[in-house]
Amino acid sequence: MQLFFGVTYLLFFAGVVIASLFIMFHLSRYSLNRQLAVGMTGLFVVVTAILLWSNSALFFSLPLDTLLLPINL
Amino acid sequence: MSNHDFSRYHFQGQRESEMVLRVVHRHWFDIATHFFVIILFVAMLFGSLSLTPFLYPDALGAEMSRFILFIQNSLILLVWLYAFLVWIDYFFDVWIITNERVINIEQKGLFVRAVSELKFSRIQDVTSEVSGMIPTILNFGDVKVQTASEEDYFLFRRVPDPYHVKDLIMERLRTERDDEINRIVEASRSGKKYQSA
Repeated sequence: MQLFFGVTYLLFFAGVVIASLFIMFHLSRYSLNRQLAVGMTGLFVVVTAILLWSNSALFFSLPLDTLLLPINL
Repeated sequence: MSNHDFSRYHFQGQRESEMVLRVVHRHWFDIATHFFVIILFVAMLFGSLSLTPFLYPDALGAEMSRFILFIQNSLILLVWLYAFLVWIDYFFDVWIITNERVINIEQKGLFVRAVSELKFSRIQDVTSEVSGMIPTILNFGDVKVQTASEEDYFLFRRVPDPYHVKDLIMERLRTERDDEINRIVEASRSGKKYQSA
């Protein structure tokens, strides 16, 4: 069961990273105003990195054994 | 808005002599309606998740609280990405009016992007329309740029100040036609054969 949650989280994490890369590509490539592009991309990268880092930290701090105990029983 | 400096704006395929006169996005009301739905959804989710420990204080231990925090963080992450997808759809869906042509860049999500252009010499007629109570109050609506062929037209959808956008195109159209007439006159005076630009 722990493996299932691990793989599911890995897929979620990879999906978020890929979507973020596509968004960054659009923001930097198609923006008509260079200054605005740098600002928007910077904001997006910083906030996404913080959110991803905190999300993975929270996931790895989850006591999956205790949480999954009712399911295992 | 018309006093905005567009000299800093550059787009792919811009010619050296080409100057950006106006960049037109959809009206902010259009994106506000999208964001309102997102904010409402997030508020409902967070409200229910935040109220759970107060409503069921015994049912949630330290582990479960950490799990709820993880769910909240994941939701923030997804909403953050979704908000940027909505923003990209809005911000890169744009009409550019230059001194030579009108360019329509249509962005639909991340993977559909269509770019089309219309030279001023091909424009036949320009009409603007504001219909509805909110568009009238906030002054936004559609501008239809009709080309020589009847089926072919450019539509500026839900843009702010459509009358001004129409006037700008018409003014540019008049200048373009005056320039062409001057070129014809110059060519006939000098005895050269006139060639359209």
